[in-house]
Amino acid sequence: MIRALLLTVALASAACRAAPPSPGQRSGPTVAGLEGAALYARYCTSCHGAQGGGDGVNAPNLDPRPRLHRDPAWSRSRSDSALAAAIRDGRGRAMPRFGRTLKPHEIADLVAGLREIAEKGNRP
Amino acid sequence: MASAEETTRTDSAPAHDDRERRALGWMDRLLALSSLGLCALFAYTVLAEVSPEWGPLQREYGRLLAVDPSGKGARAPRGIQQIHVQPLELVDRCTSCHLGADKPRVASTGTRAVLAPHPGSMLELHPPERFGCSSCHDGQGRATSREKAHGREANWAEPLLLGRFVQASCAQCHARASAPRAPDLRVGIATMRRRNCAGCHVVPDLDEDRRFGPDLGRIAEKTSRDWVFAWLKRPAAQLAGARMPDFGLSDREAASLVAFLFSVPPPPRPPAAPVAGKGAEAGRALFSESRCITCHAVQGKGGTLAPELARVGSKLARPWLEGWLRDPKAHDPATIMPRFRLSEEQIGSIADYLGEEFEDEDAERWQRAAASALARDREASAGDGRKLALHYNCAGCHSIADLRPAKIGPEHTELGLKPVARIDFGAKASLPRTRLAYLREKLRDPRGFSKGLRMPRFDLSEEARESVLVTLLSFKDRRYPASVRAAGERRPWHGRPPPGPVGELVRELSCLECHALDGRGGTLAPDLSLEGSQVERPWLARYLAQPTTLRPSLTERMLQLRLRADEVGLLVEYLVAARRADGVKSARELFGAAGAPDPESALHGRRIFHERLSCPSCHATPHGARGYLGPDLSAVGSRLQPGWIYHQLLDPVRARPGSIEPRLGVSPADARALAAYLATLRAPPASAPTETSP
Repeated sequence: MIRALLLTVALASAACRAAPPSPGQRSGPTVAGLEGAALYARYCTSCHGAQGGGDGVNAPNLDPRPRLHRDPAWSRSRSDSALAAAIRDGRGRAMPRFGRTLKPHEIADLVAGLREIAEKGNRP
Repeated sequence: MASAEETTRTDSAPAHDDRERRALGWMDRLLALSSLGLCALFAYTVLAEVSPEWGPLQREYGRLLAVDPSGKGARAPRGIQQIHVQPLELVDRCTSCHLGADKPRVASTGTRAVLAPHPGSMLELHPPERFGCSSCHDGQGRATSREKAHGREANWAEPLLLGRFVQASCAQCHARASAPRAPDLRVGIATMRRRNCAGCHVVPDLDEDRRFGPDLGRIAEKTSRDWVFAWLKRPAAQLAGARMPDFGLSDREAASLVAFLFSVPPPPRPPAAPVAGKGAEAGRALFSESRCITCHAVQGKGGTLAPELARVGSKLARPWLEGWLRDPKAHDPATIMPRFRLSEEQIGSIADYLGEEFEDEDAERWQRAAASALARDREASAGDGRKLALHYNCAGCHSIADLRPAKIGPEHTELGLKPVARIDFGAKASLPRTRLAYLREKLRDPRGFSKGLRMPRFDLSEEARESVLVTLLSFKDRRYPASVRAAGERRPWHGRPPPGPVGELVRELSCLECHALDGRGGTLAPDLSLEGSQVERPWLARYLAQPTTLRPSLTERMLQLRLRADEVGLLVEYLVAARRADGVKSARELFGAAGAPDPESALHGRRIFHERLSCPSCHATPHGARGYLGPDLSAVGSRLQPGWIYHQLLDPVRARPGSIEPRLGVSPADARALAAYLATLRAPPASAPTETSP
């Protein structure tokens, strides 16, 4: 009985020690990335393509052609703020500005989604 | 003698002492142990009180803050933290451990998810001080230990929702069909509507009174016994994307149902002479002109509102098909198929085409199998079939003879709170005892739990099944006050036709299966609520008589219904008179007394359009713009009213909610110039619109 109690106590304290939340084991898209992907599908894919291949349905009509997003090297060479600025203020004449349509937090989500799409470029 | 006595005494005394000492020692040890145990228990209690689970986390967060360059000396909170949301009667102590959840990121929290900020931007839309944590994540907000707070306790009704399942909570305030940022909820409820779960269950948000399967009154005229047998045995094998589930019927049961269905006398109908068409080629042209694939798919290509047609030629009897094409709603009042105003010859041609080009290559196989099974089960009786039809609630989806629909399944209203103790896991003893595990298995293998269960198998893809699970878990009502609920989103797909004769026409043409009025109706085609302020009347009349394509990239296109002139007039009259927006300028208000744009300002607008803004990326004009994402603007001046163009340019998102056109921040002066330019882009006079008057 007492041994059982002692054992319980010992185990419980050990469990307490072990219990504090283990390091995050999240893998796959972040929540920001998921929301960004939804925004990407809505606003970007018609030109930049469903998989970010720069081959959307409207791409052939554009000069310059839409940027290829599924390219990790390109993504890593651009800072978050540079990407956010391009979405917010537009780029060149072809890319419209979205700063008055999307809220800053949505643009941040979109950048997160863009990063995840870019990294897929590594996979076949 | 004495020594002998002594010896005896010394012999026996130590033995006695030993026994006594042993007894004492045992007692001693028991006492010592139990007091040790008590001490330990006491110490543990005290320790547990002074060093709760959040203690080390708060110290760690403090250390991180101290070394964080952007921290500016911020201090970690100490003690139990709580968020009290009065209107929701919510007390959440989650931030005692999740210290960074509502704060900016602290450098070097690294992989410590528990200390990291809430991911995504959800907290900006739902600030914790208004919504707390457990309103979305469930769990036990008041608890202060990990396991309890996460609701992983027996009999705690709402365990923590993780990953996609957090969306289940959105339905507390948002309509499932349109909940923003909850794709699983939207897909899930749409799937449940499509598969008509409400045929047997009471399902929140699916309370509309509508039958989803076809009327079976004329089944004997429509198709063969063989086809019905094969269909009943395995619907998905007869039709890709079949909505009807698999009831796992034996040959005998299927044969009985066939006997029953074919014993029901079809309702009388006006005699119609067989019609001769002009052949499959003429039918093909009519099929494409009428835009049948906006709703129907052919070999997987096309719409999803109506059945796939690829194998329909081997299914339908010609006289039935002719009658159906003549007037679908006379055959089945609940069908969404509109009546195309076709001539007898046109009907015949389409029937020729469907009969010849849509044959089922597999027909011989299933016909042979069905015929031999039906021949074997000669004793299958209509009476048995009727009993089966009642048992499986066929009338939940179909209209058959005098059978009445019944909600034979459990109500879904509170499914998201159903106590695990009240779930019968039956034969599936190895399943984890959770609501989610049960529901997932129920959808996968509905009858595997015990004998006598009736639910059919729906063959959902894994993705669709998970979305349905999210939706099932959303069925509960915490009765939050209206102040936190999202307004005006209820049941958007259930269109409400206007009153009067125009409403009759709208109902007959099923306009609101694709278009919406006042936010209610379909989502496939534009909302027509403000059509009267948007388009030029002559254009509208021409379009309704002969629909053209506005957006080259779309596959779903307006049906060519071949409306009569008086019908076009009725619809135009209604939309122009009753469907107007407030605050849209008239041409005179915009362009002055002349009501027409002056050439100078039009030229200025043309430059803005092509040289300053990114309009050409999405729109086409006669002046070099080639985009085809948005409507082609080459003749927009004949289509849209200048006042509406101006209105939409100022704020496209407000003007047309749901449009992806971005706000470019066009000034009123520039918008006026752009409207002037676009108003000059008119259709060539050769095809100038002539209004059809009623």
